[in-house]
This record gives sequence, C-alpha cells and structure tokens, in this order.
Amino acid sequence: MPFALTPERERTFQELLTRYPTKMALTIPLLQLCQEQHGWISEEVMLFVAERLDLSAAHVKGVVTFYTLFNQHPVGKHQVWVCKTLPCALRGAYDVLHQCEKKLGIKAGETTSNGQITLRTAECLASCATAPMMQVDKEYFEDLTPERVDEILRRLQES
Amino acid sequence: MMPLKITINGTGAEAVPGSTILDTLKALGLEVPNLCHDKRLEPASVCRLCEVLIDGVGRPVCACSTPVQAGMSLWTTTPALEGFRRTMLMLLSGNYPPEAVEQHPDKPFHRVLRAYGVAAGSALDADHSPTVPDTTHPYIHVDMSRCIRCYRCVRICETLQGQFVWKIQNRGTATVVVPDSGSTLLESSCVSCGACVDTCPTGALEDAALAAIGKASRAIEPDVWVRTTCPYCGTGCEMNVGVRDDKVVVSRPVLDAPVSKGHLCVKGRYGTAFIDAAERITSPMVRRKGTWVTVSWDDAITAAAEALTKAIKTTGPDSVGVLGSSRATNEESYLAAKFARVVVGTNNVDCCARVCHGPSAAGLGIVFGTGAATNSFDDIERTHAILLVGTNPTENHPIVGNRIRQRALAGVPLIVVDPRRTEVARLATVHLMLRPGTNVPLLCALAKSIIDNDLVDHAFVASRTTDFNAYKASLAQWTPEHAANICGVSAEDIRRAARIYATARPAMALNGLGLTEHIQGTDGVMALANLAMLTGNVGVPGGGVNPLRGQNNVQGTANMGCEPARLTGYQKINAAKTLHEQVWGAPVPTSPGLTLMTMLDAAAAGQLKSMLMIGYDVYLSSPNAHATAKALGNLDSLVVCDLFMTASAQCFGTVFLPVQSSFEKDGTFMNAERRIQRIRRAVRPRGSSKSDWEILCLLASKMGAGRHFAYQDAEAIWNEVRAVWPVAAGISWPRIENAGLQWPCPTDDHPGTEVLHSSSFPVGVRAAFQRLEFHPSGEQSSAEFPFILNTGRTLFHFNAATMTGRTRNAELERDDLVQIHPGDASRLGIRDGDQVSIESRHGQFRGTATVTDTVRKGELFSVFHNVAALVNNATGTGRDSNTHTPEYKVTAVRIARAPAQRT
Ligand code: SF4
Ligand code: SF4
Ligand code: FES
Ligand code: FES
Repeated sequence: MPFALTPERERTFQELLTRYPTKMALTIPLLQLCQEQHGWISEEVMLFVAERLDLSAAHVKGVVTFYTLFNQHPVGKHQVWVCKTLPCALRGAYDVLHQCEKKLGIKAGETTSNGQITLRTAECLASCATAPMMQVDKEYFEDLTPERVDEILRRLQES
Repeated sequence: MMPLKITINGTGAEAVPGSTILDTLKALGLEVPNLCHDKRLEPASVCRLCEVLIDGVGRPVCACSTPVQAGMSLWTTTPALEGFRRTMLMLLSGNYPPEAVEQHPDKPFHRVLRAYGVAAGSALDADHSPTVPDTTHPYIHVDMSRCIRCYRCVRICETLQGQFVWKIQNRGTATVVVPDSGSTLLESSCVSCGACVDTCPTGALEDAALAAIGKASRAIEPDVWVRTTCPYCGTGCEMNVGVRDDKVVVSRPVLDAPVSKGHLCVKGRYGTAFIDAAERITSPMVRRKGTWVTVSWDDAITAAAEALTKAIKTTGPDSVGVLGSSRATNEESYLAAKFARVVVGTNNVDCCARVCHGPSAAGLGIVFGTGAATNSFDDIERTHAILLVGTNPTENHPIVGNRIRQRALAGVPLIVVDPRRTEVARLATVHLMLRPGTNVPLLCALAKSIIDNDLVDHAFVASRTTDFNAYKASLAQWTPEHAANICGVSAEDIRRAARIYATARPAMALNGLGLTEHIQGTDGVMALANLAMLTGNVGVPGGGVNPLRGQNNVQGTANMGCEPARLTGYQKINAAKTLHEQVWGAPVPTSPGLTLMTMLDAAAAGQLKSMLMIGYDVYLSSPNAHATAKALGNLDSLVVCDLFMTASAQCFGTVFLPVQSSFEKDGTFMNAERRIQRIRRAVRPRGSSKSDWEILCLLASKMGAGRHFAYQDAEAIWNEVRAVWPVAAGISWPRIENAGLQWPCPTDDHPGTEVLHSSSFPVGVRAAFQRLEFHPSGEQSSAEFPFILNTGRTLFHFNAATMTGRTRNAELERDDLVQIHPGDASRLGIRDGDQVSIESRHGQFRGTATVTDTVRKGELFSVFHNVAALVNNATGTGRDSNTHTPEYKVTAVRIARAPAQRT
C-alpha cells in the first residue's frame, strides 16, 4: 500500500519545505516524520520520500541505511538502547545487556514476540559519568544496578 | 603566474599556484600513493594514503585535497607515514581476494600493495565463499569483493556522467556500493558510459571484454594503445584504443582531450565490435546476373570505372551523382568532391548533411556568412543561460549533453524547445513542449517578446546589424498569445523563456535536427540567429548559435566540398573556382549541381544514370522509401563503398568496394565546433579492404585522371586542402598531433578560433536580420491519420545502425521503439512491448511500443535504426524550401496493435 502522511504531519512537512534551501535537504526531517507515524522505514516510505523530494529511491535508501536511528524493520512499541562503549563497558554494560536479554527472552537487535519491546545496543550516548546507562525511548536511565534494570523492564512490560 | 617556492623532503622545489600538493608531487615525479583521487573529480580524501606531513602543522594532511602554499615544507615518506600507509593497506586488503592481485597486476591498488609488500586476503577465512560477480551487463563486469570503497565510481557517475547510478548503502564495515537500490547493473539506470570502470582502481568494475581476457591469460593490458577520434557523433571525443593481437579489445577516454575531457559515451567506449563483425565485407564484388560475385580489385575498379564512364559518355557528366560520406575523413570527402568535379565533370556531389544539418549550414551561412557553429563546447561552461532547440543532447551528443546537464544541475537556467519531454527537458527551467513543425512561430514570438519588453541589446543591434526596423515590423503578428495557440504552449512560458534568454548575458543557443528537419528548416535556423543578434549573443564567449552536428564528420564532409554549390571550405563555387583550378590543374564545372534529393528525383525521371555512393545507406535513411526505391532501381549502375552490405547495396548496387573503418586508416575528422582532429590506424586493414581515398585514386587513374590523384598518403591530401582553403592553411598534421585546432586558422602560428564573428562577419561588419514567413507543414493530423509521427535516435544506436547494430548495444535497448502517450495507448489497447503498426499516406512500418509520457497525446516518436522496420516507408515528401532537407519530424500517421510476428 502506498504510504501517505496524516493531514497534520503533511502540514508540518509543508511548513518544513519553506525552511530549507533545497528539497534534498529535507531528506532526514521527512524520514523522521514518516518514522514517527509508521514506526519504521519501509520500501513504501522510501518511495514516498523520494517522490515528495524529487530524489531517487536509491538515494533515500543510502541515507536510511547510513543512520542507525532509522529503523529498517518493524520495531516494538518501546526501544531500549544499552550503551556499550568503553566507559559503560568498564562499568558493567555487558551485564546489563545480558540481564535484559534474559529477562526479555530476546537477543540484542530483536523485538519481543508481543511487539512490546525492541532491545538494541548503542555507541556512547554521552552520559559516561553515570555509566552504565541505557536509553528507553526518549528517556535516560543512569547508574544502573541489576535491581533498577529489573524494575525498568517490569514497568515497560506492564505499560 | 610565478611559481611558488616550497621544500619537499628537505630539498627546494617549485609549485604551480592553485594546484594541490598531490598535483605538485606528481609533476615532480614524487607521487605518493593515492587511491581515491582522479583528476576529473573533486577530491574526497577517503583512502588517506596520500597523507603527508607539513612542518608546523600538527597532523598529517591529505595531499589530494590540500592546496600548496608558498614556503611549505613537506615530508612525504617518513617512517611514521610509511607505517601508517602500510596499516591502511592492511585494513583495505584484509578481505581482498589475493588472486585478483596476481591476475591484474597493473591495477593501481595492486601496484601499491606490491610496493608496500602487503599481501591481500590476510583476514580471509580459508573457507571463505567468494562473492558472485554481477555479469548481467554486456560491457561491465562487477565484482564487489574487490571494492575498497574509494567512491570514485559513485562520484564519477554523478559529476561526469550525471547519471547517479552507484549508491552507498550502510555504514562502517558493512558499507557496500550498489547500482540504484541494489539491482543488477543491467536492470539499473546505468547508461553504459563506462566512466566508473575507467576510474575504479581495483578491477571491482572492469570492462567485460578485459575481464574475459584476464582470466584466460593472466595478463590484461593490451599490447599497444592508439589515440584516435570517435567514429560516431559530431562531438569529436577522443579515445585511446587498446590493441591486442591486432584486435581492438578496449577503448578508453583520453584524459586531456579538449572536447571529451576524459569521458566517453557507450558508443565510443564500447561500440567497436563492428570492426570485426562477421558480416563485414572485405573483398570487392560485382553483381553479375543478379548475384554478387567476388572479384579482384582490378576487376572491381574496372567495372566501376566503366559504369561511370559509360554514363558520362552517353548521357553526359551531369547524369552521374557522387555522394561523399560523413563517416569518411576530411581527406576522403575532399577527394570525393574533387572526383566529381575533375574526373566526372559535374557538381552533382552531396552528402548526408543534406538530410540533417544542411539548413543549419545554409541558415547560418545566409545570416553570418559561415555555415558552422559560432562558438565552442567550452562556452557551455562560460554561459549564463542555455537555449536548446530541437536537440536531445544527453542521448545524441552525450558528452556535450552531460556538460549541459551538469550546468543545469548547478543552477544555470535552461530553456528547452522540444515536443518531447527528454532528459534535458526534465531538468529545464522552462520546457516549451511545442507541436512538431512550429519552431518558427515560437522563435518569432520569443523575439517579439524580447523587443516588446525592451530587452534588446541596442548597442549590438546598432553597430553589428541591419534591417532591424523591417524585422521588428515583420514580427507584428507574433504575439506570445498568437504563437502559443499555434505551438500548443503557454504564452506565459514564452515570455519567461524570452526574459531568461535575453537577460542572462551571455546566453548560448544549441540546435539539433528538431530545428532543421522541417519544411521550414532553414527559416528556423535563421529565426534562431535573429534571436542571438537581438540579444548581442554573437561573437561573444558563452554565446552564439551552435548546431550539434550528427555524425563524426558531417561538418567536415560538406565543408570539404561535398555540396553541389560549394567547394572546399564551404566556399561558393564562383568565389573559389580560380584558386581550385590553379591547384587542381583542371577546370571546375559551372553547371548547377543536384542535391541528394534532386538526384533521386532525377534518377526517378531517368535523367541520372549512375551513382557513386560512399559510406551512406541512402535507401534506409531517405524519407518516403517507396520513392527512394523507385529512384535507385532506375539507375543503370550504383557503385557502393562501404563496410557492410547496406540496404542500398543489397537492393540496388552493381559494384561493391569494401572500405576500411576509421580504426584502420589515418586522417582527420572535423567536429561540430570546427575542430579538426586526427584519427589513426590502430589495427591492420581487414581483408583486402582499402580506404575511401585509395579507392578514389584508383578509380580516377582508371578513368584517365591519375595525375590529379597522385598522393603519397592522407597527409598529402590534407596539405592540398590547405592550399585551396586559405582559412585552414595553418592547420597542419604536426600541429594537431596532440590536440585538434578549430578553424579559422589561416597561418602556422595562428592559435585557431574558438568564437566566430567577434568583430565582423564574412558578410561584412553587419549582418542582416531576416524576415520570415511561416508556412505550416502539409502533414496535419486528420480523422484518418490522427497522430503526428516524429523520428530520431537513441543513446545506444546510431543512425542506420550499420555499426552499432554489430555490437552488443542491442542487448541494452531495442532499436525499433515507438513511443506513445499512456492515454493514447490505453485508448487503443496498446501495452508496453506490444508490436504496433504505423501507417501514413506514404507507407507503413512496424515497431515495438513504449508507453511513456515523454511524448504528448496525439504524438508518436519512433527511432529509425532498425533495417527491417524501415521507418522511412512512412515518412513523407516534404522538403525544406531552401536546402531540400526532408521533413522527417512531421508525418501524419495512424497506429494500431499488430499481431505478433517476426522477432
Ligand atoms: S567499485 Fe571500484 S571505484 Fe567503486 S568504490 Fe569500489 S573500488 Fe572504488
Ligand atoms: S557506466 Fe556510466 S552511467 Fe553506468 S554506472 Fe558507470 S558511470 Fe554510471
Ligand atoms: S560510554 Fe556509555 S554513555 Fe559514554
Ligand atoms: S588520494 Fe588523497 S585521500 Fe585518497
């Protein structure tokens, strides 16, 4: 099915159009709008973006595959990102990750079968002073302990 | 400019201001390794191998992207730098197939690996599975296991070709380079120019022909490289052909070529297989009792000479016609023109310029006095606006087209006048999608709009032109509204286009056959010349009126005197007669000669008895094929010089003389910007074939005129051309050894002329505005024939496909396509790929439908490359009133689905 923006997002897009020097410059903002609506970037979404911005679908695909924040597959309702860069790693990031994998019954990169949670790893999220840490949707959880991780995941599963 | 003083590795050196450190090191023979650099591209600095140290700069910098500065002290090979390079090479080559290094030792990447003693494949598992190469494309072999992600292919496809095929996906170690969104190369939007192959430093992208040789022999490089000029269109690109075992195995762009600047299109790059096509004819033949019989050269020349002599003796010299070839060299065309005048004694000599740009030469000749492009291709980069009239340059003159496309992408305003939505039209600021056959009203309305809005260059009009007031009065009826009605475009667009063209000084006009192949062809060209004068765009860099000539040497052939009313240098007969008679030592006939079209008329009427047809398939390419057949069938004799058994020879020929291709002989071609460039023998002549000039000399001598045709070689012929054409007297072969020269170039120290008419015209200081009347085409759509058919070429095929038809280009695109608008197609139940039959009141042909919005409703566009389809069965009898150039672009037809039959 061809993809289309909701009328409200369409208005946002039209307004963005006036703010950028070229249509191509809107590739990322428009992809973000689409992902917000659709949850991930499907082939249809790429075609839609290409058409609206006079770009080739191949160009859009290049952008989508470059940025890890664009989901190339359907994802869960919530996103859990465990930072695994050096400072976090030294402070037990892999324990946090394994605990999550065990508790959710999935590996990093996968989504729970009820479609509730996607678990991923991230490069440094710039909160090293409070390592280990993880990001849940748009929120940071820092100075993690096994108890806190349990608690966070339990609340997520219930939400 | 004063050179800069710098220090390299502790030693003083000089550098050219504005160059990069890498350019400087290369010039001094101190090149550092570099893999992502190509001088045709902006630096990207992704391989980091070229890093050098500069005293006082804390970190290493990339030589390829850093400009030199006075006083710089550089270090290029410190142990730290060399260690760094070795590490980078190990990272690049860890997963790289080691056998590739051995197989193709000369690839830049492999040379660097060897120089640093780095073994490829160190990180590969013993049981790694090799990636499967993409072998779908007939010319380009893709093996991405050899990709080192230098992105040269991505960049060259964008900035040289403008095609945007190669794309980068993913990031980090997962990065891959793929065509489009990851299709095979054949299915992708690739146009097969081969630029990516030419730049790839590893062989990930390789010419399929070389990939094949490499496997068999473990060595890939040809034995010799020969620099020559492309045998296809009038752009005049230069190529280096690689020869191995006397075969052309590869053709690569010449980096410092003045026109093509290191680029080629699919025809020049890959279209050389015709040289050794199985159907090539390499022994002379004579038709006896209806069948072709192979004979000796002597017998063949005797038969040809007897046939011509018989006609001369019994019905007079004017019962013989000679057709020079736009595929032949200047030297050969000059001899063809001389043969007609001196040996036969007639002015009945013409060439295929008659059916293409005759109106451009005539129109510009009438207005300015020189029947050639006023400016040069380099003006494309100098101009501030581009006006394209009836030309589809990205397909028909791809290297020029690419340069125009790059300018449009960079924001230079582009106006396209074309009934079809071509690639350039899709990029246009204003696309005037006019009805076929309405160029004159449109161009007149542009002029009127310029005058009415006072955008005229009054200074130029006052000092360099005459007849302005009469011209202005003659435009009275051509309001944008009136023209818009006739042309089927909006009046507002006409005004916009007029404003852009008139205000962006300089503005450059280029035209193609869409302007000339009409009954108002010459008028159209003059209307365009009027526009250029009105806006002061004549005699200035970045301006002018520039016909994009169709064939490699069509500019040259007419210019060499294959024109009934003109002698060498497009000089009028009475003006140049004395000089020619002096040099030739023979009289020049004065009776008016016949054009190709009137020769056919005369043949049909029984007045023309014999024809010498050099490298030109008249039957296939002339309009109204039934009439052509009647004319050619009426001849007593037809002597054909060609590479292949053309349709004309097959049906009507009596003697066949096999010629050499441009890769087998020496000579010169003249491109569309008046540049004379060398072609060179790269392989031995095939079989017993002879060059056209040798054949003409043999014929002349058999006919008793040998003393006028005694030449040592092609260069001697050229030197005679210089004697009869003072304007080009300064162009000697030694001078054009490395780069061609543009005439006028009257003396040995003259640099050649990029821009004509800067201070005066051959017709005087002032040129006259031309008043034009519009007479619509007789071909109008009707209930019976509701469509207007337009004909033309595509990227992958060339004219009668004599050459491209013998290459693998056929695998890239069909040669019998007929474009139809989706609305019309669905109404008539025609789907993409269906066989269709097209019929006019003159005849009928079949083709394969392409459903596309490139054409407007009610219009069709057909390519004319397919011999069997014979599009010219349907084209009509209309001719330009001035030059007799046929009206190929407008024929009323009907179209229907045809039951599938032959393939
Ligand atoms: S295919 Fe060749 S040119 Fe393209 S990125 Fe890979 S190595 Fe470079
Ligand atoms: S051959 Fe030319 S058009 Fe095709 S991918 Fe390579 S650079 Fe692009
Ligand atoms: S390393 Fe985890 S936040 Fe920086
Ligand atoms: S050549 Fe300079 S970084 Fe590759």
